[in-house]
Amino acid sequence: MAYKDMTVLIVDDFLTMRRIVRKILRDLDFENILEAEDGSAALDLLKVNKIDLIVSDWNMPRMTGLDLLKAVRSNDSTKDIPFLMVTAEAQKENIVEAVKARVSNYIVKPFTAATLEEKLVKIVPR
Amino acid sequence: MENILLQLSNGVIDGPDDLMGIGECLNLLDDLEGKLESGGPRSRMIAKVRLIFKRLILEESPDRDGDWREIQRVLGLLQTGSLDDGMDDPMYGVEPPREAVPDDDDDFFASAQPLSDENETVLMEPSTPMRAAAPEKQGESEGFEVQDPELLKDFVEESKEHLSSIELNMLALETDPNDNEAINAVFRPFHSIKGVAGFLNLTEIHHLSHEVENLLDAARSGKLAVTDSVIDIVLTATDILKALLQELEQDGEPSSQTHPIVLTFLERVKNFSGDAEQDENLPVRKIGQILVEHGVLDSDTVEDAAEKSRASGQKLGETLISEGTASPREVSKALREQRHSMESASSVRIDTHKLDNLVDMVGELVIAQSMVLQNPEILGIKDQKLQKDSVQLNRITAELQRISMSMRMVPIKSTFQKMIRLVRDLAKKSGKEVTLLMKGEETEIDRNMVEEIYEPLVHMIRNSVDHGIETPDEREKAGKDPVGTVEIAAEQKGGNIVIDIQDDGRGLNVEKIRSKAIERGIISPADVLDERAVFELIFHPGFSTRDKVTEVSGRGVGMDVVKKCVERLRGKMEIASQLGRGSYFQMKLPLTMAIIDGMVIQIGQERFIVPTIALKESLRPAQDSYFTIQGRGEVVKVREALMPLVRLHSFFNEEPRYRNPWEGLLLVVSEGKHSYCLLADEIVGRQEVVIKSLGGLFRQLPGISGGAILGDGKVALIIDVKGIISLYEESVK
Repeated sequence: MAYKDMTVLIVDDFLTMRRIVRKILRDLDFENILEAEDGSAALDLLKVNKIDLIVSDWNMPRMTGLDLLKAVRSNDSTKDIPFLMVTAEAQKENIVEAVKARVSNYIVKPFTAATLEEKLVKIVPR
Repeated sequence: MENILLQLSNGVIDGPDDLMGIGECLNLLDDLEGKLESGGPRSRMIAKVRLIFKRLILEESPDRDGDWREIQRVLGLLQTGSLDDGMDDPMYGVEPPREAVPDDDDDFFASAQPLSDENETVLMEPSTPMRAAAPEKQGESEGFEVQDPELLKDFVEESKEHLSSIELNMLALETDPNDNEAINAVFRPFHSIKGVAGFLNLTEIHHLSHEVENLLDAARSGKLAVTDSVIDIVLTATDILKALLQELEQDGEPSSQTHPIVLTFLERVKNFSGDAEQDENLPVRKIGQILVEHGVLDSDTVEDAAEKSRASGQKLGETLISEGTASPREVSKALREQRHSMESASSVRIDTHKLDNLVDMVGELVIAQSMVLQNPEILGIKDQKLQKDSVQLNRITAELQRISMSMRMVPIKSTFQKMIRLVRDLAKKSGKEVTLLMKGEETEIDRNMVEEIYEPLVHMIRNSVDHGIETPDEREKAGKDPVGTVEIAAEQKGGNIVIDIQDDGRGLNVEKIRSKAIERGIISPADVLDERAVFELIFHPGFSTRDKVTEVSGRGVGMDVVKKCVERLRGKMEIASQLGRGSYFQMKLPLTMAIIDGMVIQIGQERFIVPTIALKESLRPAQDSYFTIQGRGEVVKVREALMPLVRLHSFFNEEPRYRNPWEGLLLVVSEGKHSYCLLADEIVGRQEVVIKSLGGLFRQLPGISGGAILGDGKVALIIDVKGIISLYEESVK
């Protein structure tokens, strides 16, 4: 599937961060971009939309990216959605936990469109 | 176990970039380990392989090829070791190595089985795909092309918002440095700000928040105790960040020069974390500790498990579960307790007027309902279904009322938190050392009252710190801890919110207060007052026991203001004190200002409501305890005390059923330092009423504070006890 036909869901509690990720995704030709400001909002969106890719921040209040990942993976209708975890260099250590929870891949902030593209190639079938 | 090994061999990993496969493999290893005897050679192998996997996942391996070989070697050994468990062909079980091998290398799997040097050539390959992922690391020093003035503006806005929450949470941490949820809440904004700053090329903000983030991360994981200096660093960082954001907002772009203040700060943090890391003091309650407290484990078991979990890189909880020493339920319960999840779920903002209207309307609904249900016609209907349905209706409206009231309730926490800074500043100014303890911050209070209680609370805290707590010297001389303690506690008791302010200072000096009151002409030397009445004197306007007026409080105003505020809220103040030991103030406030718990009394044809909180007792006196004293008018003797008789009917121009106090009923109220007996015909009942303010002409009616609609639809006036007493005092004069 071409990027422009895919629906991607950005999950981050920080509005500016969502805007930035959106901008970078646009640079990669993504057109259908949804945003959620926390895990539970993301789960709600997942119920009513067909999502082809989730780009989620790790560190969020209430429901962390990891909790979201686990929730996504434990639901039959969402368990195969590619899940890219956005993390920070300092919190990279924790990524093993996400790997165990079957994250598709992860990306360290800040990143460029090129880096994101590299990660996407690995996890999104085109 | 056989099954697990089989799964491992079934190829769970598609290729080197397949983190999901690696994850599955790691999980299988966990399962496998769970089946093994702990501490045995095989579980040590698993721990080792796990560490190497981690290094590979994090792209941190110094020697990928070497790591790769090692993984295979160890996994191979694992398989061999499992021969006795019934694996026929252990060599083929070595699945994990495939992860780092290019997809197309189908031969690899076969070639991986011998655990010798032969496969070296094949093993060289993983380095290629791994390296491909490397640029992201360099990315950090690269310029990021996200340059958008709009984004910059949003960033400034959003960051400012988050920074204000940092301050609040820092204050929470100050009281409870182990509050992990608060650490997290402080950590998160720095984390987010850093993240965005990285994208927007805001180097200074990025560095600054990065350092603080690291510091807080250490605190979060229990490696660093949240000491005063940590708090100070975070608050300083917050201030600097605010200034940088301000500048950014004005200039529209980051300054090209580095601010010296930022450099100084970064230096400070760098030096700080150096010595703070030696701090053995762990602020976070450990899972093990909680489990011991729960009586699930003894501390030796926990220590053993902790040792093992360190060796395996596993979390303690995982180790405990896999060893079977604690059930997953117990561990998750402990984890939950540790996390102490934030109470707030998702929320919406609502105009408070709408909320107030809702509460009012629900109040009306409750009244309308009882009007309908108490209608004689309806009461006359002997239909079971109607009765059942009306019970149901009652239940629903009661619940509706409860919910709508609760929507206006907010935790008292934020008000309490403002006191932390106050105490800190006051203590600093007066050269005292004071710890502020807080209890029951989660107690909820009508949001309309939050602002109202702020002022009295500030006055009382000031009073405690300034007048109550002694200087460290004085305290030490008195054999006390040089650090004084002020405690504020909130609690919901019945229909009231009770706020206690307690200090362990010098206490109230009865003699001193007395002589001061005489000096000020508040009382005469002949007045005989019990201790409590003397304490009450400090609420008298213009009273100050302090010899000299201090900068922070004692300006002659203070406690009288407190009392006024509390009374305006239809609340009550209580004092207790022990000389040399400390003082205790209690504010008793109604839960909400919209509803009062009232005593419905009958006077002639009318019913009135007296707020229950104002009542001390009600009684019907014996005929011989009623006197008329020259110059004092009618009095009633209640247990040796003479109380003026206040004939309510005379203020409301009602023709009472009983003129003799021994026939009617007396309501004992206290006002100032005296008690009074209010005469009514009888008490009809006690009920919660929704207060309605009286419109127009009646608004300023003395002695009346509002109206309420009773169950039968009739209006009753709410008596303002204080107002009635002053009316009475005037009439006596």
